[in-house]
Amino acid sequence: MTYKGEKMKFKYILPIIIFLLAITSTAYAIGSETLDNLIFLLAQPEPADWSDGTFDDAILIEGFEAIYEMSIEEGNDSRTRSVLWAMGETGLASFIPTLINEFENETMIACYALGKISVDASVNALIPMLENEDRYVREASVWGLGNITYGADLDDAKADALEALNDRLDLEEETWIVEMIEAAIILIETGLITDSVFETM
Amino acid sequence: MRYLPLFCVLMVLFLSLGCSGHSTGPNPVVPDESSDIQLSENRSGNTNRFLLGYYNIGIDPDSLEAEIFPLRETSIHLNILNLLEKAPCTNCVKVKGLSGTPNNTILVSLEFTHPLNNPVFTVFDVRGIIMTIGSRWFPASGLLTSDLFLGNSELVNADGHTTLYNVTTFGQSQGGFQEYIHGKLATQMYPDTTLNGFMRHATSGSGNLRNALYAGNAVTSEYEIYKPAGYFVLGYAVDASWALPYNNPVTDPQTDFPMEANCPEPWKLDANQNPVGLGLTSSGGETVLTVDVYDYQGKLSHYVPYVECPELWDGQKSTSYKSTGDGYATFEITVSNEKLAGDGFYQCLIGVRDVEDNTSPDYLDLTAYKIVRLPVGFAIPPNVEVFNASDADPTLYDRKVELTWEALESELVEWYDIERLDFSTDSGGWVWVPVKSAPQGVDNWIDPNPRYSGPENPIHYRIWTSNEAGKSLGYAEDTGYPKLRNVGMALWCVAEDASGSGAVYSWATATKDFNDCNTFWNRYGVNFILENPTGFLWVGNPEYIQINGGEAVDMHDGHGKAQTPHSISNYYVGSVDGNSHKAYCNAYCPGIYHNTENIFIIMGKDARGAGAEEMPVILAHECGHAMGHFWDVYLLDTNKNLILDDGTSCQANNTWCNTPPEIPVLFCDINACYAQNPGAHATNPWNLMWYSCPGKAIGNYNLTDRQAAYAGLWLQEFKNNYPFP
Repeated sequence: MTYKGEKMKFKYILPIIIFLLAITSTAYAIGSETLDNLIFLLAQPEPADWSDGTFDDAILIEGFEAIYEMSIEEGNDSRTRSVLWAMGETGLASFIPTLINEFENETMIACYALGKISVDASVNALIPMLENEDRYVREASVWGLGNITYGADLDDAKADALEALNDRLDLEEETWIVEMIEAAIILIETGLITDSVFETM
Repeated sequence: MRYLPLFCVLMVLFLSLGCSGHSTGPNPVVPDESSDIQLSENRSGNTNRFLLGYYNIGIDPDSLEAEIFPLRETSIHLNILNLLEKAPCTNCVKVKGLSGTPNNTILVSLEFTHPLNNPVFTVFDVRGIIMTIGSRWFPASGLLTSDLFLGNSELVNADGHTTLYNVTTFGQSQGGFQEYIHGKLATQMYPDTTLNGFMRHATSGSGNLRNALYAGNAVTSEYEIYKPAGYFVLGYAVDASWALPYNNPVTDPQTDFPMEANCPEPWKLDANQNPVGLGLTSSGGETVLTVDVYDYQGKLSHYVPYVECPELWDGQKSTSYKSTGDGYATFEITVSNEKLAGDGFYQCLIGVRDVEDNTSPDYLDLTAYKIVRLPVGFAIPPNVEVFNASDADPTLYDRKVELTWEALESELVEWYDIERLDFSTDSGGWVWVPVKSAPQGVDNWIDPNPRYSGPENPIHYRIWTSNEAGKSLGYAEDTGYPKLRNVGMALWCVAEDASGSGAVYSWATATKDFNDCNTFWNRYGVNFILENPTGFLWVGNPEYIQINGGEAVDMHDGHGKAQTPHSISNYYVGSVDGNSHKAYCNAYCPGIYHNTENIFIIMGKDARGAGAEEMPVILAHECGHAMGHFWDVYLLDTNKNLILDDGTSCQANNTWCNTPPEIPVLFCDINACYAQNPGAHATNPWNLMWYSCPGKAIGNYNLTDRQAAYAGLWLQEFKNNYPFP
């Protein structure tokens, strides 16, 4: 690097730099420092509340998606699971496509995460998982359907969820999952928690 | 609140910033805390003191309230200003406690926090130097110091004395780094003493053999200052030594730095006197004065000690070499009351000049000093020479330390006075507490109430002799610790069935968790004993593989609570609420319910992590909740920026007691409070209850002194909650 003629060039370079910085800041809401921060927090074993307003939604969305992509690329399964779980903790519907995409790999954790995002897309994604051959995935989907908060805008989804759970009630062979389904149905219909499984959200 | 600058203290924190007062090199180097840090040692030849921060402390002597004012307007100290702008050291000095004593002294607990996190900036021989108005003149040495008997304020418990940075050095050093600094907020009256007492600030732990203050650490010392009537003004400097480390990055500051990183002059002088016959009397008499000189660079790096006592004799008298001990050399001189001074105690100055003083500038006096008061007409007893504190003596009952000493045959000894260095939760500093006075003839005592500790964090004891005339000039010191306090732990693992099929965790990894946990807690006197040393206890129920909080309570009720109630139950599960990385501890309030029967820990199968992101501290952290009832310090990072919040909710004594957090579960008892961890993301060592760092070995974590003290108090108060295994 040479500094020859530095002063002379600077008056032309400065506006360009400012312009480029402006473009950059528009394109990337978060910097590497924030990304590192999120990665560090994701690694913590004790729970962090990702929906407490500490981070802007835009930062969470961009940050988690970036970390997710990096983790997949690096084959870092542990971090992948952590970020999927955290996506659910945010309660942001933007993550639903990513979570559904993970049905192929981290099905169970994706079900738990979807159960924390109360939109009809989550319900629609969780219902087929009631038929999954893995009992832990079935458990997670029951938990997810029971955990979703069904507001007025989710009346159709609520009806679908209840129908699916009732259908599964007749087919499910695992006793503890049957109990969970019963508790989920009561919870959705009445708001009453009858099983400790739904006490921790 | 209005703080008058009645008691203004200058804080000059000299540290490792690669500059020197008489350097021929460029300007001071600003520390770069990045991992690939480029070191620069901009110091010349024989000095290694560096300036880091600058403060004023205002103390109201009526209310004993104090406040520290970090100086940002240091126009005459350009490099200080530069450092304050670039380093987070605006709050590196705290008055942690202030109280009066019946002896007309005030106890000031001063905490110095190392403002940098990279261990390459570990500093050595950190000293807080008190400067006052003095009336005691040593003509042969040309030094003025304070004397409480002459009505001066005086640091009465000084570890030693120095002339460094005294007021006459003002404006003399290049760049202002090795000279007296007077702040704008200080009163107009300057201190005038040229010889000043100091207290050491070193990271605690027996592994610290070189008086190091580790990067990121906060260390408190208790200053006992004689307080004359009316207002008074004191100057204050903080001195530290440093040199380029052998290795960068620094992994072990004890071995990665050369001995030159310690102060060049002797770091400690101990004096003893053995009266000849009646000792010094108004008609003459003699006493043998012995001086032990501790110097990291060895006895060949300093001259023989000299003694000046202007009221007893003229000029300086040189001592003679006598012997060499472990880390020190002993010198001796027989002195007499040549001037036939009347009965009383006379300040005498012992000086040991370093050979490097020959080439240091005039304003940088590389001489170690110590002031002793020699008695005339009072037969002061000699020091105890041999003193031992037991280390985990298996023959002693729980939490006992036996102290033994060689009884002296001197008729002058009436009592052996034993003191123990305890952490004061009131003042936030370490204080020598009298624990026993044994009569002459007795040569042992069992301490029934020492704190929980271990070989890496032993208890300091010292013993004086005394009689009606007063106590010995010096003391003997040793460290010891009781047997570790055993606490039971049961390792449960969830599986498909009671035979362990489909277990979610491996016994090998669980053993690593357990060993790491013990490595940490052994340091603080706790030792976990496995209830199931050969393999898991099984929770043979697949329903608990993926678990939630309510189910965990059910699981514990049916397993650990019923089968291993005398041990802390630790369960390995597949996941908690769908998260396999999650771990937590169920704690209870009030404290009587926080017992091994109720406490349980849940560890998700991936909580420890693996490879480069392994976190060996997880179980030890959960045991912080279980054993110390500790709150998570990371919850004080409310904006999750990995930097500890300070100020608003934690002002008083920097604890959480005054403002409990929103989730009260772990904070129902005031004894659970502890000081903030002053560190942030990269603090080294890390606090146990701060965030867990992927890839960080267990040895990097610690408890604050206050946390350790409260863990001990908790275990002491609720000892029945943790049955002996």
